[in-house]
Amino acid sequence: MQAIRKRFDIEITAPNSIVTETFELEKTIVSIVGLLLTSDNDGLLYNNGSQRIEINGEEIFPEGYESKLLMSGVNVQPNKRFYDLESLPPGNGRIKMEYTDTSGAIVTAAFVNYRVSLYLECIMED
Amino acid sequence: MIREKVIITKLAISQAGQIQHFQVKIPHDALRIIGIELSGCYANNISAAQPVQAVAAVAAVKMQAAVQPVQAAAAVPAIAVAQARQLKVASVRVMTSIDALFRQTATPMSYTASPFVGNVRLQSCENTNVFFSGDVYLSDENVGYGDYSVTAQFPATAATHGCKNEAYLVNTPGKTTILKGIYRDRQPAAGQVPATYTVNVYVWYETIITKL
Repeated sequence: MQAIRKRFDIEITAPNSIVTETFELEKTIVSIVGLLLTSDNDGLLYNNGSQRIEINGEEIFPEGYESKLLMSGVNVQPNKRFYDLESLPPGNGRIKMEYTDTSGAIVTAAFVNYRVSLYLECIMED
Repeated sequence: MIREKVIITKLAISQAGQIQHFQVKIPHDALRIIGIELSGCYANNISAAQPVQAVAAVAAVKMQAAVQPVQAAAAVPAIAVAQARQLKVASVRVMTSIDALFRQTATPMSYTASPFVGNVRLQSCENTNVFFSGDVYLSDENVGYGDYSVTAQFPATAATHGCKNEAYLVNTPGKTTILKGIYRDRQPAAGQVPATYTVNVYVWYETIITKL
């Protein structure tokens, strides 16, 4: 068994939009142990983002769950930045993410495209 | 298999002193309630609209002030206030930052009070009764406190330098079908412009799942 980290990106190109993406994991992955969100524009993700995350058809985070609760700053130790999922079985390996940008009127005027990255810490069989 | 799930309740607050009652419906399959998380955010978030130049200018002045306090104090109004005024509607959040800068002598060891806006109480219908009371802050103004590594290009913000969020641990039986909640806004009635904001209450509970 070995730990690997997977990264999946989505692009947010419009304010007040919902972006849905489905990602797939390899069959050799036996469990998902951690989850983390980052962005190339941390401020927008922190202030405007919320998401629904589904793994193997099961809702892990419901709609409206704020992105800032799944982020870790640079002051957090690198090996403690992931949100602990306690060895979640991947099932069919499908990760569905429904990201919602909720920019207010002021932010909409200053909106720039940004990337949201979903990191997963997984255990893979040898 | 035991799983953790979460229920989100959003409260829109628009007046100083507002009292909001709410209910959180707990599913029948809930074994126990294990955690509560609170977060507050401006309804019309201005911090994200704050121009990058203004943030960089503020950070630059902070850095300079750590070395040359007198010159830095003179440099603050011209740069930062002018940019803040460009955002005519951004009075609350931007001016908070600017005020914070003035209050601080712009050293990383200066403390600024974070905007406390109210508190949440939760009551179970079972024996545990009132089992949670927590404060809501809209931001952490001291995220860069004592951090001398902050630069103009990489200023300390909650998004980049914030700690990992953790839920408050509670242990309440899931038999209760409803949690009664009350939110009291604690902003001063006079003086500052009251912020319009949203409070999110996250109730974590345990349940048994048979499907893998």
